[in-house]
Amino acid sequence: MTTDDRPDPRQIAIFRRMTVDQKLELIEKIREDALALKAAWLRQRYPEDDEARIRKRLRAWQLYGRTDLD
Amino acid sequence: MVYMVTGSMASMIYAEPRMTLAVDLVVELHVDDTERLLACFPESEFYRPPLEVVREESARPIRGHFNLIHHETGVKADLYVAGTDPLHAWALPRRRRIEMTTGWITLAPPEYVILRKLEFWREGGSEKHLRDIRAMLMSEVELDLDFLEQELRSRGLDEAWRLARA
Repeated sequence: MTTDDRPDPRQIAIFRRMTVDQKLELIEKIREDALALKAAWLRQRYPEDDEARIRKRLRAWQLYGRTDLD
Repeated sequence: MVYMVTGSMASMIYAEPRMTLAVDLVVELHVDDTERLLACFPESEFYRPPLEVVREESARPIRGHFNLIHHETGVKADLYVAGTDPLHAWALPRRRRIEMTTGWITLAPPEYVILRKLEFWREGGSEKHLRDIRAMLMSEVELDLDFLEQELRSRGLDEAWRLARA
């Protein structure tokens, strides 16, 4: 947890070398991983929910940043 | 190895979506474990500090820190050594295990994430920490408010806390 928003210069050098396709692929992978993590958290937090309801919560989280459905 | 994910990744799991290319981890790392840890991150795939640096950082009682960067993607992991920091001693036994289809991870308790973010905001002034805290407060995360308030007072973070809640 760094104190500022700036990426490390070594990271910047890596990003500059990446092609657009590689960058898009990375963003997609990060998105997928974040969704998988959040879904796992929601399954534990709402054990009574079926998968359809978990997907609804996940969708609400992506759209509105919230997971309550009521 | 005992560890917990904290920082923006943790606040994202607790609260709203957020894109980050850095993962913050608190690790219980002892000098004797450093070689084994680095062996998991080969130099061909990761930027990593020399073993001597990692040994020095792991021996620090507080504020031991180093990072790893994946050459291919640029994703960075900041590792904070647990040491004897009392807040780490409080938080690590309270870390939350999240079961995933591919394995599991452990997450820092939300009170820890908030306190560290307030401290980092005070040190660096980055608004991202206050944004993350606000998002956590608006989410459904339950907090041990007695503990939080006691730590806020003892760490002189009352003003930062007031701003985060504004």
